Amino acid sequence: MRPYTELDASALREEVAAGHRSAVQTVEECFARIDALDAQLGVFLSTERALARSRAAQIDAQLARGEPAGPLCGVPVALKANMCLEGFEANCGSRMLAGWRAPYSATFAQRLLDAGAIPVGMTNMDEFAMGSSSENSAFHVSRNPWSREHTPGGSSSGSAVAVAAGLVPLAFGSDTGGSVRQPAALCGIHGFKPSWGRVSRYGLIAFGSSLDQVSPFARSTRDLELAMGVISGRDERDATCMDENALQPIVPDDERSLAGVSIGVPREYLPDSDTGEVAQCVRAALESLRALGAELREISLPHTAYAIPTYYVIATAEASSNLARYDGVRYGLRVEGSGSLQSMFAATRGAGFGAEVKRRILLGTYVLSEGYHDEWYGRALKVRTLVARDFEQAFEEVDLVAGPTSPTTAFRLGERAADPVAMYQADVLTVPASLAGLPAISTPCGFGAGTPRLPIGLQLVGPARSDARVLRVARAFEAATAHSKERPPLALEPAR
Amino acid sequence: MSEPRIQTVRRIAALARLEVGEEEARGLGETFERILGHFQVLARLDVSALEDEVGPIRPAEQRRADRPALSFPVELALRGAPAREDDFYRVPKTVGGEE
Amino acid sequence: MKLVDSAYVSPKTGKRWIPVIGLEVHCQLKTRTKLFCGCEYTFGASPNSLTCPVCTGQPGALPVLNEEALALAVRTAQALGAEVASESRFDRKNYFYCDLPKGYQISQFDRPYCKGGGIALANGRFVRLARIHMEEDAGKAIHDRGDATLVDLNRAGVPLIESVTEADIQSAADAQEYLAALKEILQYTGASDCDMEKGSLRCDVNISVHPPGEPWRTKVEIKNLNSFRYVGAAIEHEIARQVAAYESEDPSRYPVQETRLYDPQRGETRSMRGKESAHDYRYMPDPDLPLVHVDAAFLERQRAHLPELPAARRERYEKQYGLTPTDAGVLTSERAVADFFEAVVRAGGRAKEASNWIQNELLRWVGDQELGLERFDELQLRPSELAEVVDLVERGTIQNQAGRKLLREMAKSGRPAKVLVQELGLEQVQDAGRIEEWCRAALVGKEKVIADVRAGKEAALNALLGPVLKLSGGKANVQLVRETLKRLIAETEPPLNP
Repeated sequence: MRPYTELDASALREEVAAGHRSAVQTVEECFARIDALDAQLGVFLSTERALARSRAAQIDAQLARGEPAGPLCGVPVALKANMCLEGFEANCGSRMLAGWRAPYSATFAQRLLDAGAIPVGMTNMDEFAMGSSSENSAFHVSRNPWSREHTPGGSSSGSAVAVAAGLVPLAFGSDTGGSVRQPAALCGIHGFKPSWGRVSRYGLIAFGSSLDQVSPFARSTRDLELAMGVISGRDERDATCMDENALQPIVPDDERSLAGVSIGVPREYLPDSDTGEVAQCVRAALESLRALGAELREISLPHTAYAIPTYYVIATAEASSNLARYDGVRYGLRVEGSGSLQSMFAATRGAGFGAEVKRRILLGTYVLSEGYHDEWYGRALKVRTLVARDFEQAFEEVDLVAGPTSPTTAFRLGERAADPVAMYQADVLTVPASLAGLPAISTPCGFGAGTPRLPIGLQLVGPARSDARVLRVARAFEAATAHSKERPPLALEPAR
Repeated sequence: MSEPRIQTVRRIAALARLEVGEEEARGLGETFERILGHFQVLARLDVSALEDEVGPIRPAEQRRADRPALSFPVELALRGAPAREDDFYRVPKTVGGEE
Repeated sequence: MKLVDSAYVSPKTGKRWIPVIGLEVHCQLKTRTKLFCGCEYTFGASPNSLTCPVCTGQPGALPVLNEEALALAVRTAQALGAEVASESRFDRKNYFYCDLPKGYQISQFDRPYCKGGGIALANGRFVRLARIHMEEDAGKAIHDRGDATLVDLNRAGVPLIESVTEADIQSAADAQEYLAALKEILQYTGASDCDMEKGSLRCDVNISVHPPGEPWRTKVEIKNLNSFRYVGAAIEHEIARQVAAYESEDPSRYPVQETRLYDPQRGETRSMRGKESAHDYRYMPDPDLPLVHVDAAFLERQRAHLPELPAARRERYEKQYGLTPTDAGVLTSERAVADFFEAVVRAGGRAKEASNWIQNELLRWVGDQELGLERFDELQLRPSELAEVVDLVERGTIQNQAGRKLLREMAKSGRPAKVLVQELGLEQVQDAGRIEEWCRAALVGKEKVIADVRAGKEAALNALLGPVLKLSGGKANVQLVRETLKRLIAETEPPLNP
């Protein structure tokens, strides 16, 4: 029996299904790992051990009865704390929802349960998914397993670290403007944002509804495919969910060849003048793709510079509306105020939200308000179309677009906390695909030049609905290189 | 942004029902102005020929049949309520209208 | 056609003022479940018993459009001669209130599903509709229980359509007529039961006044009008109030743009709040809902569901059945009554007689049982049964009066007419001997009537018919009774020395 931490979800599932290890044993190994590392990494906001153990026992009993093993049978998974799963605390990293247990389950979470996955807990996040570093969590920061002084990225910080540090083989985050791809890059793992509408958003607590997608983190691309096969597909509770069946894992017959695949490299993402460590590392990765048979072509996405303001106007506008429901009436925090209903609303929201969330609600309220609506929000909707058209035109010539996921390796915790504008820039390479609703992956492609060694991610973006193509190319890259096999140096704490 | 920034923050905060302290308002006002300053680049583009679509992805339309589904038991609905009275959510006395 | 002049004449100055009135009517659609979730809605259910993650605005929940609500909304538009947009959109109207679970109401703002159409009034004026849009209702805030406001979210998410007229209305009477016609159409199409007491029809009024030939002045909105009578009274009061304010020539008293509430107890409107804060609803398209597409096939399917509308029915009843306009009007005022009438005719009842029976008998039962006309179809009587009774009377098998008795028995027992006629012995008596017996008995002591008849007052005979019929248990053939009475009076000796 191989050690728990060396197995990806696919391998772990095979072992459980074949009876080589029990689901109960698997969750115990998972908890042991959590006990050894969570205190120093700040991964979880809550774990639900009793629930996980009883689910594991249930799965073992089913297998003993000869019932078929689900595609994620016995696989411990972690969910970002903005996902609803009955009995779990979905506090969104916010004081506003501290202690709030969802009274229903998200569609994708229910599908995970049905597939035999075992949710073990809810992971840390920037409050309401607003942030790129974990520093906006109301509870604690998460730390990069490659260097605890550095951020793991965000906003799906805890889920990224959970996978990178081997606490679970598979975790789920939400990607609105890069909240899965960026931490995947900074933590040296795979993170896949599906086409918008590929995975049901029912039960994912909204930040920017026209951008949000449930997105998996894994240590292998085959695990991403496995996860997508379980969670994607039509849902009658989400009217914007694609009317398509679940994405099926690809048969890896010629996974090493990329002959006939053309890959566009936008000069806006990787200018010749850029000689930084990230650019160099990504150029080397592109050469690996060429070596696999892919044709590389320089292209242009001329509206890239407008993507950040467009994204922040639209995402904050939607957030200001999505977060209006936290008013102290039906659930969550309540602060009475000066006695009137409206003062109760303001006092509750003033006390419940942190600085960044307030800033974004204000920004979003402003760009929607009378007199500013057309100039800001209305205009941003239109520029969004221009950003999407850039991609449409590019995809007339190339099959995929490639570039770095993040302009830098992980930055130090505290380094950008005081400067929201600098923090927003962390998303510059991920928001264009979000605005266009396109499938995009961040896949490990090496390390920075400095010490400590910090991971770098290669981003691949495909045309609308081409999720399978993106995963296939990433898989070929993974198979041809050793980047995905690197593990962070971690000092385990003695078991409690 | 021509208005004094603190005043803008106060007005928008009132609209968003966000209580912000004096210090906080000043800090928010400053970053608010910087962010909007950066975002001014949007004004450079000619967008007159474009529609204001919600997003580039147009999902196939999905509707539901008029078939009843299970409602919450009252206890589950009110479980998270910060204040309740009988089977109602309880809030500070208000006269009506949205103020 | 010359339009009726609806100018308001000031009682103080005798000056003429032109009222300008528009109506916004919220109407609850008659679906089983809510607009965006599967909760059923029934009026008066125990608080917060009909809610789910979607309609309580739980974090993460999403709306999915109820297709039947769209279908009913489209049918209403078709019935009003309006244009249904091939593509419309749902928007979020953002504001904070305790009965609004998500902090926004899903409504339609700049791309409503329906534009145009309208209703013709009897005076020749046409009230144009600016638009109709779909939206979800809010919950209910209860303010009269103790020192807190209590919130019940059962109603949250119930489907509404809001129809907005152009300012084509000039008087309270016009407004009431428009509302009655709108209600008739909504009920006919099955889109709504329009029960104002249950809040399924709610009306807001926009109103201003100006001297003839001058530009329109400030408009005032009146809310909280939950009966047609209140709408009329509120408009009349508000016209008078605004005219008096202008005529005071004190600008501080002039109407301001505001929302006023109608107080039915005092019969007046009053300002809803001290200072009017302008609303900023920050409308935005709802990213959770795809654009709503209505294609030709969908329109055709809905059109096939459309019943013949009241105006068309009235016309047809006059032409096809030779009914008077009044009769046609009474029968079509409620769809259930008209449907019943037509079913009686289809079952072989003659139209004119069926109309009389329905108006003279059945509508009275409805009144007696305090059912309300829209519940006409709850009567325990099938159209075929009335057709049978009409036929029995027509063929002379039973008398009118016996027919009434028969109908009541049928409704009570649900047993067939023929059996009841037998059992109750309702069959008409034509036996001359028995009829003469009853007539003689009735004539006893009626010297005055006899004298009158002799003197040529035919009509006096009627006073005797009742007693004879009573004696016969309603079964005597009236024609024979009449003839027999005349003969007996003629045969009787005239009294001496009258």
